[in-house]
Amino acid sequence: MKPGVIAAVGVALALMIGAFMLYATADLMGDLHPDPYEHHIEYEVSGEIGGESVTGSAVCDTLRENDAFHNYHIVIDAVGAGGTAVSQSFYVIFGPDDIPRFFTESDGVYIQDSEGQRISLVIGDFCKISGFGFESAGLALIAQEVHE
Amino acid sequence: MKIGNLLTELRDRASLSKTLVMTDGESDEDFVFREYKVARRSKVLFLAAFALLFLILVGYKITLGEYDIGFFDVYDTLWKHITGSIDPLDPIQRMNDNVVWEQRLPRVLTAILVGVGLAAAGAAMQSMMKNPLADPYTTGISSGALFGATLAMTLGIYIVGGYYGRVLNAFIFALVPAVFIIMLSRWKKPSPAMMILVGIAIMYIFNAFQSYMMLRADPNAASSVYTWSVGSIGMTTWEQIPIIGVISILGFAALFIMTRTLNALNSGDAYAKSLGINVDRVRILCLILISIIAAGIVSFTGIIGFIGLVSPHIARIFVGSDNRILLPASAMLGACMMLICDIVSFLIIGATLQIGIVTAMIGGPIFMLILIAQQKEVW
Repeated sequence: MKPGVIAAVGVALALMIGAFMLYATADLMGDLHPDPYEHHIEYEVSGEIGGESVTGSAVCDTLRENDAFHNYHIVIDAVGAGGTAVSQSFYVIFGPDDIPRFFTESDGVYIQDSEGQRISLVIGDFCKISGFGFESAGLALIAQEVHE
Repeated sequence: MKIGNLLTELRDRASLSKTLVMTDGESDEDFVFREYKVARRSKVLFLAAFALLFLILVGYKITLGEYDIGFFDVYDTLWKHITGSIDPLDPIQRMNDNVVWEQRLPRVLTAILVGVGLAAAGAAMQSMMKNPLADPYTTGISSGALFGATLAMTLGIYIVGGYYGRVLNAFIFALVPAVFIIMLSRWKKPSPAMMILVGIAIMYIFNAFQSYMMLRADPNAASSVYTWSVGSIGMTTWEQIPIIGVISILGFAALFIMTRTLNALNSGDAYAKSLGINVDRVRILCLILISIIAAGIVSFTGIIGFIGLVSPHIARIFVGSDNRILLPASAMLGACMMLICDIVSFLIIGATLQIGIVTAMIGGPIFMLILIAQQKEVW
Protein backbone atom coordinates (compact mmCIF):
# COMPACT_ATOMS: atom_id res chain seq x y z
CA MET A 1 0.00 0.00 0.00
CA LYS A 2 1.30 3.45 -0.89
CA PRO A 3 2.31 5.74 1.99
CA GLY A 4 -0.19 8.38 0.87
CA VAL A 5 -3.02 5.84 1.06
CA ILE A 6 -1.90 4.74 4.54
CA ALA A 7 -1.82 8.38 5.70
CA ALA A 8 -5.24 9.07 4.18
CA VAL A 9 -6.72 5.98 5.84
CA GLY A 10 -5.13 7.15 9.11
CA VAL A 11 -6.74 10.58 8.74
CA ALA A 12 -10.13 8.99 8.00
CA LEU A 13 -9.78 6.74 11.07
CA ALA A 14 -8.81 9.71 13.26
CA LEU A 15 -11.86 11.63 12.04
CA MET A 16 -14.12 8.66 12.72
CA ILE A 17 -12.71 8.26 16.22
CA GLY A 18 -13.10 12.01 16.78
CA ALA A 19 -16.77 11.83 15.74
CA PHE A 20 -17.33 8.83 18.01
CA MET A 21 -15.64 10.56 20.98
CA LEU A 22 -17.82 13.62 20.45
CA TYR A 23 -20.91 11.41 20.33
CA ALA A 24 -19.83 9.52 23.48
CA THR A 25 -19.27 12.82 25.32
CA ALA A 26 -22.65 14.14 24.14
CA ASP A 27 -24.30 10.90 25.25
CA LEU A 28 -22.62 11.09 28.67
CA MET A 29 -23.63 14.72 29.07
CA GLY A 30 -27.15 13.73 28.03
CA ASP A 31 -27.22 11.10 30.78
CA LEU A 32 -26.00 13.63 33.36
CA HIS A 33 -28.49 16.24 32.19
CA PRO A 34 -31.51 14.35 30.86
CA ASP A 35 -33.90 16.07 28.50
CA PRO A 36 -36.64 17.53 30.76
CA TYR A 37 -39.17 16.93 27.99
CA GLU A 38 -38.51 13.19 27.85
CA HIS A 39 -41.13 11.48 29.97
CA HIS A 40 -42.16 7.98 30.84
CA ILE A 41 -45.19 8.41 33.06
CA GLU A 42 -47.36 5.71 34.57
CA TYR A 43 -50.96 6.38 35.58
CA GLU A 44 -53.64 4.75 37.68
CA VAL A 45 -56.88 4.60 35.74
CA SER A 46 -60.39 4.36 37.11
CA GLY A 47 -63.85 4.98 35.68
CA GLU A 48 -66.75 3.16 34.18
CA ILE A 49 -67.92 1.51 31.01
CA GLY A 50 -71.64 1.08 30.42
CA GLY A 51 -72.29 1.58 34.12
CA GLU A 52 -69.69 -1.03 35.10
CA SER A 53 -66.68 0.22 37.07
CA VAL A 54 -63.25 -0.27 35.54
CA THR A 55 -59.70 0.05 36.86
CA GLY A 56 -56.38 -0.21 35.11
CA SER A 57 -53.24 1.59 34.12
CA ALA A 58 -51.92 3.89 31.43
CA VAL A 59 -48.47 4.81 30.17
CA CYS A 60 -47.23 7.95 28.48
CA ASP A 61 -44.05 7.72 26.38
CA THR A 62 -42.11 10.27 24.37
CA LEU A 63 -42.00 9.93 20.59
CA ARG A 64 -39.18 11.63 18.71
CA GLU A 65 -39.94 13.04 15.31
CA ASN A 66 -38.50 16.53 15.38
CA ASP A 67 -36.76 18.16 18.34
CA ALA A 68 -38.75 21.37 17.93
CA PHE A 69 -41.95 19.49 18.86
CA HIS A 70 -42.69 17.19 21.78
CA ASN A 71 -44.85 14.18 20.94
CA TYR A 72 -46.35 11.79 23.46
CA HIS A 73 -48.21 8.55 23.03
CA ILE A 74 -50.61 7.47 25.77
CA VAL A 75 -51.83 3.88 26.00
CA ILE A 76 -54.67 2.95 28.37
CA ASP A 77 -55.45 -0.58 29.50
CA ALA A 78 -58.31 -1.16 31.91
CA VAL A 79 -60.54 -4.07 32.95
CA GLY A 80 -64.12 -3.84 34.20
CA ALA A 81 -65.50 -5.62 37.24
CA GLY A 82 -67.31 -7.98 34.89
CA GLY A 83 -64.16 -8.70 32.92
CA THR A 84 -64.74 -6.18 30.11
CA ALA A 85 -61.33 -5.13 28.74
CA VAL A 86 -60.78 -1.59 27.56
CA SER A 87 -57.78 -0.60 25.45
CA GLN A 88 -57.40 2.90 24.05
CA SER A 89 -54.54 5.09 22.89
CA PHE A 90 -54.07 8.64 21.70
CA TYR A 91 -51.32 11.08 20.79
CA VAL A 92 -50.57 14.53 22.13
CA ILE A 93 -48.34 16.96 20.22
CA PHE A 94 -46.85 19.98 21.94
CA GLY A 95 -45.50 22.83 19.83
CA PRO A 96 -42.30 24.78 20.52
CA ASP A 97 -44.46 26.97 22.83
CA ASP A 98 -45.16 23.94 25.11
CA ILE A 99 -48.90 24.14 24.40
CA PRO A 100 -50.69 21.02 23.14
CA ARG A 101 -51.81 21.33 19.56
CA PHE A 102 -55.48 20.84 18.64
CA PHE A 103 -56.65 21.24 22.24
CA THR A 104 -58.56 24.20 23.64
CA GLU A 105 -57.80 25.51 27.08
CA SER A 106 -60.50 25.94 29.69
CA ASP A 107 -59.67 26.73 33.33
CA GLY A 108 -56.18 25.27 33.06
CA VAL A 109 -57.43 22.04 31.46
CA TYR A 110 -56.79 21.31 27.78
CA ILE A 111 -59.74 19.71 26.02
CA GLN A 112 -60.16 18.04 22.65
CA ASP A 113 -63.60 17.05 21.39
CA SER A 114 -64.00 14.98 18.25
CA GLU A 115 -66.40 12.42 16.86
CA GLY A 116 -67.93 11.58 20.22
CA GLN A 117 -64.55 11.37 21.95
CA ARG A 118 -63.40 13.85 24.57
CA ILE A 119 -59.88 14.02 25.93
CA SER A 120 -58.92 16.40 28.72
CA LEU A 121 -55.35 16.98 29.91
CA VAL A 122 -53.81 18.42 33.04
CA ILE A 123 -50.34 19.63 32.15
CA GLY A 124 -47.33 20.45 34.31
CA ASP A 125 -43.94 21.89 33.44
CA PHE A 126 -42.00 20.64 30.41
CA CYS A 127 -45.15 19.28 28.75
CA LYS A 128 -45.66 16.72 31.49
CA ILE A 129 -49.18 15.28 31.37
CA SER A 130 -49.87 14.71 35.06
CA GLY A 131 -53.42 13.52 34.56
CA PHE A 132 -56.04 13.07 31.89
CA GLY A 133 -59.62 12.17 31.24
CA PHE A 134 -60.90 10.04 28.37
CA GLU A 135 -64.57 9.84 27.40
CA SER A 136 -66.28 8.13 24.51
CA ALA A 137 -69.55 6.26 23.97
CA GLY A 138 -70.35 4.65 27.32
CA LEU A 139 -66.76 4.99 28.52
CA ALA A 140 -65.43 7.49 31.03
CA LEU A 141 -61.92 7.18 32.43
CA ILE A 142 -59.81 9.34 34.72
CA ALA A 143 -56.03 8.82 34.94
CA GLN A 144 -53.76 10.13 37.68
CA GLU A 145 -49.99 9.94 37.65
CA VAL A 146 -48.55 7.28 39.94
CA HIS A 147 -46.08 8.83 42.39
CA GLU A 148 -43.63 6.30 43.81
CA MET B 1 -8.41 -6.89 -4.93
CA LYS B 2 -11.95 -7.84 -5.91
CA ILE B 3 -13.33 -4.49 -4.78
CA GLY B 4 -10.66 -2.74 -6.84
CA ASN B 5 -11.72 -4.74 -9.88
CA LEU B 6 -15.34 -3.88 -9.23
CA LEU B 7 -14.54 -0.17 -9.03
CA THR B 8 -12.55 -0.37 -12.28
CA GLU B 9 -15.43 -2.24 -13.90
CA LEU B 10 -17.90 0.40 -12.75
CA ARG B 11 -15.64 3.15 -14.03
CA ASP B 12 -15.26 1.40 -17.37
CA ARG B 13 -19.01 0.94 -17.66
CA ALA B 14 -19.51 4.58 -16.86
CA SER B 15 -17.27 5.56 -19.75
CA LEU B 16 -18.19 2.51 -21.86
CA SER B 17 -14.66 2.68 -23.18
CA LYS B 18 -14.25 -1.08 -23.08
CA THR B 19 -17.43 -1.95 -24.94
CA LEU B 20 -16.97 0.37 -27.92
CA VAL B 21 -15.34 -1.04 -31.01
CA MET B 22 -14.36 0.89 -34.10
CA THR B 23 -16.63 -0.10 -36.97
CA ASP B 24 -15.55 -0.67 -40.56
CA GLY B 25 -15.14 2.54 -42.50
CA GLU B 26 -15.33 4.66 -39.37
CA SER B 27 -12.70 7.34 -39.16
CA ASP B 28 -10.74 8.05 -36.00
CA GLU B 29 -12.56 11.34 -35.63
CA ASP B 30 -15.97 9.71 -35.99
CA PHE B 31 -15.02 7.01 -33.51
CA VAL B 32 -13.80 9.55 -30.95
CA PHE B 33 -16.96 11.60 -31.44
CA ARG B 34 -19.15 8.48 -31.04
CA GLU B 35 -17.17 7.48 -27.95
CA TYR B 36 -17.67 10.96 -26.51
CA LYS B 37 -21.40 10.85 -27.17
CA VAL B 38 -21.79 7.38 -25.63
CA ALA B 39 -19.75 8.39 -22.58
CA ARG B 40 -21.81 11.54 -22.15
CA ARG B 41 -25.06 9.60 -22.50
CA SER B 42 -23.94 7.04 -19.91
CA LYS B 43 -23.10 9.86 -17.50
CA VAL B 44 -26.54 11.36 -17.98
CA LEU B 45 -27.99 7.89 -17.36
CA PHE B 46 -26.06 7.65 -14.09
CA LEU B 47 -27.34 11.09 -13.13
CA ALA B 48 -30.88 9.92 -13.86
CA ALA B 49 -30.24 6.78 -11.77
CA PHE B 50 -29.06 8.95 -8.86
CA ALA B 51 -32.17 11.09 -9.26
CA LEU B 52 -34.38 7.98 -9.17
CA LEU B 53 -32.59 6.67 -6.07
CA PHE B 54 -33.07 10.10 -4.50
CA LEU B 55 -36.82 10.08 -5.15
CA ILE B 56 -37.19 6.55 -3.74
CA LEU B 57 -35.26 7.50 -0.59
CA VAL B 58 -37.31 10.67 -0.06
CA GLY B 59 -40.50 8.66 -0.57
CA TYR B 60 -39.43 6.05 1.96
CA LYS B 61 -37.86 8.37 4.53
CA ILE B 62 -40.97 10.47 4.93
CA THR B 63 -42.93 7.38 5.98
CA LEU B 64 -40.52 6.57 8.82
CA GLY B 65 -41.09 7.91 12.30
CA GLU B 66 -42.16 6.98 15.80
CA TYR B 67 -45.64 8.43 15.36
CA ASP B 68 -47.80 5.60 14.07
CA ILE B 69 -49.07 6.60 10.63
CA GLY B 70 -49.39 4.21 7.70
CA PHE B 71 -47.29 4.34 4.53
CA PHE B 72 -50.16 5.45 2.28
CA ASP B 73 -51.67 7.69 4.97
CA VAL B 74 -48.48 9.77 4.79
CA TYR B 75 -49.06 10.48 1.10
CA ASP B 76 -52.76 11.00 1.67
CA THR B 77 -51.89 13.57 4.34
CA LEU B 78 -49.35 15.28 2.06
CA TRP B 79 -51.91 15.43 -0.75
CA LYS B 80 -54.56 16.81 1.58
CA HIS B 81 -52.15 19.45 2.85
CA ILE B 82 -51.16 20.51 -0.66
CA THR B 83 -54.77 20.67 -1.83
CA GLY B 84 -55.89 22.31 1.43
CA SER B 85 -58.43 19.57 2.20
CA ILE B 86 -57.39 18.76 5.78
CA ASP B 87 -60.56 18.65 7.87
CA PRO B 88 -60.04 21.33 10.56
CA LEU B 89 -62.56 19.58 12.84
CA ASP B 90 -60.82 16.19 12.68
CA PRO B 91 -57.99 16.14 15.24
CA ILE B 92 -56.55 12.89 13.85
CA GLN B 93 -56.14 14.44 10.38
CA ARG B 94 -54.69 17.58 11.91
CA MET B 95 -52.25 15.56 14.02
CA ASN B 96 -51.17 13.50 11.01
CA ASP B 97 -50.74 16.73 9.09
CA ASN B 98 -48.65 18.22 11.89
CA VAL B 99 -46.39 15.17 12.11
CA VAL B 100 -45.90 14.78 8.35
CA TRP B 101 -45.78 18.42 7.30
CA GLU B 102 -44.36 20.21 10.33
CA GLN B 103 -42.07 17.55 11.74
CA ARG B 104 -40.97 15.00 9.14
CA LEU B 105 -40.80 17.13 6.02
CA PRO B 106 -38.42 19.75 7.51
CA ARG B 107 -36.15 16.90 8.63
CA VAL B 108 -36.14 15.33 5.16
CA LEU B 109 -35.57 18.70 3.47
CA THR B 110 -32.74 19.51 5.88
CA ALA B 111 -31.08 16.18 5.07
CA ILE B 112 -31.35 16.93 1.34
CA LEU B 113 -30.09 20.50 1.57
CA VAL B 114 -27.22 19.60 3.89
CA GLY B 115 -26.22 16.73 1.60
CA VAL B 116 -26.31 18.95 -1.49
CA GLY B 117 -24.34 21.75 0.16
CA LEU B 118 -21.64 19.64 1.81
CA ALA B 119 -21.13 17.32 -1.18
CA ALA B 120 -20.91 20.22 -3.64
CA ALA B 121 -18.47 22.00 -1.33
CA GLY B 122 -16.39 18.81 -0.99
CA ALA B 123 -16.31 18.17 -4.75
CA ALA B 124 -15.29 21.77 -5.48
CA MET B 125 -12.65 21.73 -2.77
CA GLN B 126 -11.14 18.44 -3.97
CA SER B 127 -10.88 19.80 -7.52
CA MET B 128 -9.56 23.16 -6.41
CA MET B 129 -6.91 21.72 -4.10
CA LYS B 130 -6.29 18.63 -6.24
CA ASN B 131 -6.59 16.64 -3.06
CA PRO B 132 -8.96 13.72 -2.45
CA LEU B 133 -9.01 14.43 1.29
CA ALA B 134 -10.16 18.03 0.97
CA ASP B 135 -13.58 18.98 2.29
CA PRO B 136 -14.85 21.58 4.75
CA TYR B 137 -14.42 19.04 7.58
CA THR B 138 -10.78 18.09 6.98
CA THR B 139 -9.63 21.63 6.25
CA GLY B 140 -10.92 22.89 9.60
CA ILE B 141 -13.62 25.11 8.08
CA SER B 142 -16.44 23.21 9.81
CA SER B 143 -14.55 23.27 13.12
CA GLY B 144 -14.06 27.02 12.78
CA ALA B 145 -17.78 27.43 12.17
CA LEU B 146 -18.56 25.19 15.14
CA PHE B 147 -16.25 27.24 17.36
CA GLY B 148 -17.95 30.48 16.29
CA ALA B 149 -21.40 29.05 16.96
CA THR B 150 -20.30 27.62 20.34
CA LEU B 151 -18.90 31.01 21.32
CA ALA B 152 -22.36 32.45 20.76
CA MET B 153 -24.22 29.62 22.48
CA THR B 154 -22.11 29.22 25.61
CA LEU B 155 -20.58 32.62 26.30
CA GLY B 156 -23.11 34.78 24.48
CA ILE B 157 -20.39 36.44 22.41
CA TYR B 158 -21.93 37.62 19.16
CA ILE B 159 -20.47 39.74 16.39
CA VAL B 160 -24.03 40.73 15.52
CA GLY B 161 -26.89 40.15 17.96
CA GLY B 162 -30.05 38.09 17.48
CA TYR B 163 -30.69 34.51 16.46
CA TYR B 164 -28.78 34.80 13.21
CA GLY B 165 -25.80 36.15 15.13
CA ARG B 166 -24.87 32.50 15.62
CA VAL B 167 -24.81 31.98 11.85
CA LEU B 168 -22.66 35.05 11.35
CA ASN B 169 -20.31 33.98 14.15
CA ALA B 170 -20.00 30.59 12.45
CA PHE B 171 -19.26 32.21 9.10
CA ILE B 172 -16.59 34.57 10.47
CA PHE B 173 -14.76 31.76 12.26
CA ALA B 174 -15.15 29.42 9.28
CA LEU B 175 -13.19 31.99 7.31
CA VAL B 176 -10.20 31.74 9.70
CA PRO B 177 -8.97 28.33 8.45
CA ALA B 178 -9.95 29.26 4.89
CA VAL B 179 -7.88 32.47 5.02
CA PHE B 180 -5.01 30.63 6.68
CA ILE B 181 -4.98 28.00 3.94
CA ILE B 182 -5.13 30.67 1.23
CA MET B 183 -2.25 32.60 2.82
CA LEU B 184 -0.23 29.44 3.24
CA SER B 185 -0.81 28.42 -0.36
CA ARG B 186 0.31 31.84 -1.59
CA TRP B 187 3.46 32.14 0.48
CA LYS B 188 4.78 28.67 1.08
CA LYS B 189 3.41 26.70 -1.88
CA PRO B 190 2.63 23.70 0.35
CA SER B 191 2.02 20.21 -0.92
CA PRO B 192 -1.59 18.99 -0.87
CA ALA B 193 -0.65 16.72 2.03
CA MET B 194 0.65 19.67 4.02
CA MET B 195 -2.52 21.65 3.37
CA ILE B 196 -4.70 18.87 4.75
CA LEU B 197 -2.41 18.37 7.74
CA VAL B 198 -2.55 22.11 8.42
CA GLY B 199 -6.35 21.90 8.15
CA ILE B 200 -6.44 19.04 10.64
CA ALA B 201 -4.11 20.95 12.99
CA ILE B 202 -6.45 23.97 12.80
CA MET B 203 -9.36 21.64 13.48
CA TYR B 204 -7.67 20.36 16.66
CA ILE B 205 -6.83 23.91 17.80
CA PHE B 206 -10.47 24.96 17.43
CA ASN B 207 -11.58 21.76 19.16
CA ALA B 208 -9.25 22.52 22.08
CA PHE B 209 -10.68 26.03 22.48
CA GLN B 210 -14.17 24.64 22.18
CA SER B 211 -13.49 22.04 24.89
CA TYR B 212 -12.19 24.81 27.15
CA MET B 213 -15.38 26.81 26.58
CA MET B 214 -17.46 23.74 27.40
CA LEU B 215 -15.62 23.32 30.70
CA ARG B 216 -16.37 26.93 31.61
CA ALA B 217 -19.97 26.83 30.39
CA ASP B 218 -23.13 26.09 32.32
CA PRO B 219 -23.56 22.27 32.33
CA ASN B 220 -26.97 22.43 30.68
CA ALA B 221 -25.66 24.72 27.93
CA ALA B 222 -22.60 22.48 27.49
CA SER B 223 -24.83 19.43 27.24
CA SER B 224 -27.01 20.99 24.56
CA VAL B 225 -23.96 22.25 22.63
CA TYR B 226 -22.39 18.77 22.70
CA THR B 227 -25.62 17.17 21.49
CA TRP B 228 -25.95 19.77 18.75
CA SER B 229 -22.30 19.63 17.70
CA VAL B 230 -22.43 15.87 16.94
CA GLY B 231 -24.59 16.82 13.97
CA SER B 232 -28.35 16.65 14.06
CA ILE B 233 -31.04 17.38 11.48
CA GLY B 234 -33.96 16.91 13.87
CA MET B 235 -34.03 20.46 15.17
CA THR B 236 -34.94 22.40 12.06
CA THR B 237 -38.37 23.91 11.48
CA TRP B 238 -39.99 25.48 8.42
CA GLU B 239 -38.71 28.92 9.50
CA GLN B 240 -35.09 27.76 9.07
CA ILE B 241 -35.53 25.73 5.86
CA PRO B 242 -35.50 28.75 3.49
CA ILE B 243 -32.22 29.97 5.00
CA ILE B 244 -30.52 26.57 4.76
CA GLY B 245 -32.03 26.26 1.27
CA VAL B 246 -30.68 29.59 0.10
CA ILE B 247 -27.21 28.81 1.50
CA SER B 248 -27.09 25.32 -0.03
CA ILE B 249 -28.78 25.90 -3.37
CA LEU B 250 -27.22 29.29 -4.11
CA GLY B 251 -23.85 27.97 -2.92
CA PHE B 252 -24.22 24.98 -5.21
CA ALA B 253 -25.32 27.22 -8.12
CA ALA B 254 -22.35 29.54 -7.59
CA LEU B 255 -19.93 26.60 -7.52
CA PHE B 256 -21.63 25.13 -10.58
CA ILE B 257 -20.98 28.35 -12.49
CA MET B 258 -17.29 27.86 -11.67
CA THR B 259 -17.08 24.25 -12.88
CA ARG B 260 -15.19 25.06 -16.11
CA THR B 261 -12.63 27.01 -14.10
CA LEU B 262 -12.43 24.16 -11.58
CA ASN B 263 -11.78 21.74 -14.45
CA ALA B 264 -8.88 23.92 -15.53
CA LEU B 265 -7.55 24.10 -11.95
CA ASN B 266 -7.81 20.35 -11.69
CA SER B 267 -5.40 20.11 -14.63
CA GLY B 268 -2.79 22.17 -12.83
CA ASP B 269 -2.11 25.80 -12.02
CA ALA B 270 0.17 26.31 -15.03
CA TYR B 271 -2.50 25.07 -17.42
CA ALA B 272 -5.16 27.23 -15.75
CA LYS B 273 -2.90 30.29 -15.95
CA SER B 274 -2.24 29.60 -19.62
CA LEU B 275 -6.01 29.90 -20.16
CA GLY B 276 -5.92 33.35 -18.57
CA ILE B 277 -7.45 32.24 -15.26
CA ASN B 278 -6.44 34.18 -12.18
CA VAL B 279 -5.76 31.08 -10.09
CA ASP B 280 -5.38 32.87 -6.73
CA ARG B 281 -8.56 34.87 -7.17
CA VAL B 282 -10.53 31.77 -8.15
CA ARG B 283 -9.19 29.87 -5.11
CA ILE B 284 -10.12 32.72 -2.76
CA LEU B 285 -13.60 33.03 -4.26
CA CYS B 286 -14.08 29.28 -4.09
CA LEU B 287 -12.92 29.09 -0.45
CA ILE B 288 -15.24 31.97 0.52
CA LEU B 289 -18.17 30.17 -1.13
CA ILE B 290 -17.28 26.90 0.59
CA SER B 291 -16.92 28.72 3.93
CA ILE B 292 -20.38 30.27 3.53
CA ILE B 293 -21.91 26.88 2.74
CA ALA B 294 -20.10 25.09 5.59
CA ALA B 295 -20.77 27.86 8.12
CA GLY B 296 -24.42 28.10 7.19
CA ILE B 297 -24.93 24.36 7.48
CA VAL B 298 -22.86 23.88 10.66
CA SER B 299 -24.63 26.73 12.46
CA PHE B 300 -27.98 24.96 11.97
CA THR B 301 -27.05 21.29 12.20
CA GLY B 302 -23.64 20.96 13.88
CA ILE B 303 -20.78 19.08 12.23
CA ILE B 304 -21.80 16.39 9.76
CA GLY B 305 -18.61 14.81 8.52
CA PHE B 306 -17.70 12.54 5.61
CA ILE B 307 -20.61 13.55 3.33
CA GLY B 308 -18.46 16.17 1.60
CA LEU B 309 -15.56 13.73 1.54
CA VAL B 310 -17.18 10.52 0.32
CA SER B 311 -19.94 11.67 -2.06
CA PRO B 312 -17.56 13.16 -4.67
CA HIS B 313 -15.41 10.00 -4.56
CA ILE B 314 -18.37 7.72 -5.22
CA ALA B 315 -19.76 10.08 -7.87
CA ARG B 316 -16.34 10.22 -9.56
CA ILE B 317 -16.39 6.43 -10.00
CA PHE B 318 -19.60 6.74 -12.04
CA VAL B 319 -19.35 10.05 -13.88
CA GLY B 320 -15.64 10.83 -14.03
CA SER B 321 -13.83 14.00 -13.04
CA ASP B 322 -15.55 16.57 -15.25
CA ASN B 323 -16.86 19.02 -12.65
CA ARG B 324 -19.79 20.02 -14.87
CA ILE B 325 -21.27 16.57 -14.21
CA LEU B 326 -19.35 15.65 -11.06
CA LEU B 327 -20.74 18.57 -9.04
CA PRO B 328 -24.46 17.81 -9.62
CA ALA B 329 -23.81 14.07 -9.30
CA SER B 330 -21.98 14.62 -5.98
CA ALA B 331 -24.75 16.90 -4.74
CA MET B 332 -27.41 14.34 -5.56
CA LEU B 333 -25.36 11.55 -4.02
CA GLY B 334 -24.71 13.70 -0.93
CA ALA B 335 -28.47 14.13 -0.50
CA CYS B 336 -28.97 10.38 -0.99
CA MET B 337 -26.24 9.57 1.56
CA MET B 338 -27.81 11.87 4.13
CA LEU B 339 -31.19 10.21 3.60
CA ILE B 340 -29.64 6.72 3.78
CA CYS B 341 -27.82 7.61 7.03
CA ASP B 342 -31.03 9.01 8.53
CA ILE B 343 -32.97 5.90 7.49
CA VAL B 344 -30.25 3.60 8.90
CA SER B 345 -30.11 5.52 12.17
CA PHE B 346 -33.90 5.27 12.55
CA LEU B 347 -34.09 1.58 11.63
CA ILE B 348 -31.23 0.55 13.91
CA ILE B 349 -31.52 2.76 16.96
CA GLY B 350 -34.47 5.10 16.49
CA ALA B 351 -34.87 8.77 15.90
CA THR B 352 -32.69 9.72 18.89
CA LEU B 353 -29.33 8.98 17.23
CA GLN B 354 -27.66 12.06 15.81
CA ILE B 355 -26.92 11.78 12.11
CA GLY B 356 -23.33 13.05 12.49
CA ILE B 357 -22.24 9.82 14.14
CA VAL B 358 -24.00 7.73 11.48
CA THR B 359 -22.37 9.59 8.59
CA ALA B 360 -18.97 9.03 10.25
CA MET B 361 -19.59 5.34 10.92
CA ILE B 362 -20.94 4.68 7.39
CA GLY B 363 -18.98 7.26 5.38
CA GLY B 364 -15.63 6.55 7.06
CA PRO B 365 -15.36 2.86 6.09
CA ILE B 366 -16.68 3.60 2.56
CA PHE B 367 -14.03 6.28 2.14
CA MET B 368 -11.25 3.96 3.36
CA LEU B 369 -12.53 1.18 1.11
CA ILE B 370 -12.43 3.46 -1.95
CA LEU B 371 -8.89 4.64 -1.11
CA ILE B 372 -7.56 1.13 -0.53
CA ALA B 373 -9.37 -0.37 -3.54
CA GLN B 374 -8.26 2.31 -5.98
CA GLN B 375 -4.63 1.98 -4.87
CA LYS B 376 -3.67 5.19 -6.62
CA GLU B 377 -1.47 7.97 -5.35
CA VAL B 378 -3.53 9.96 -2.88
CA TRP B 379 -1.29 13.00 -2.84
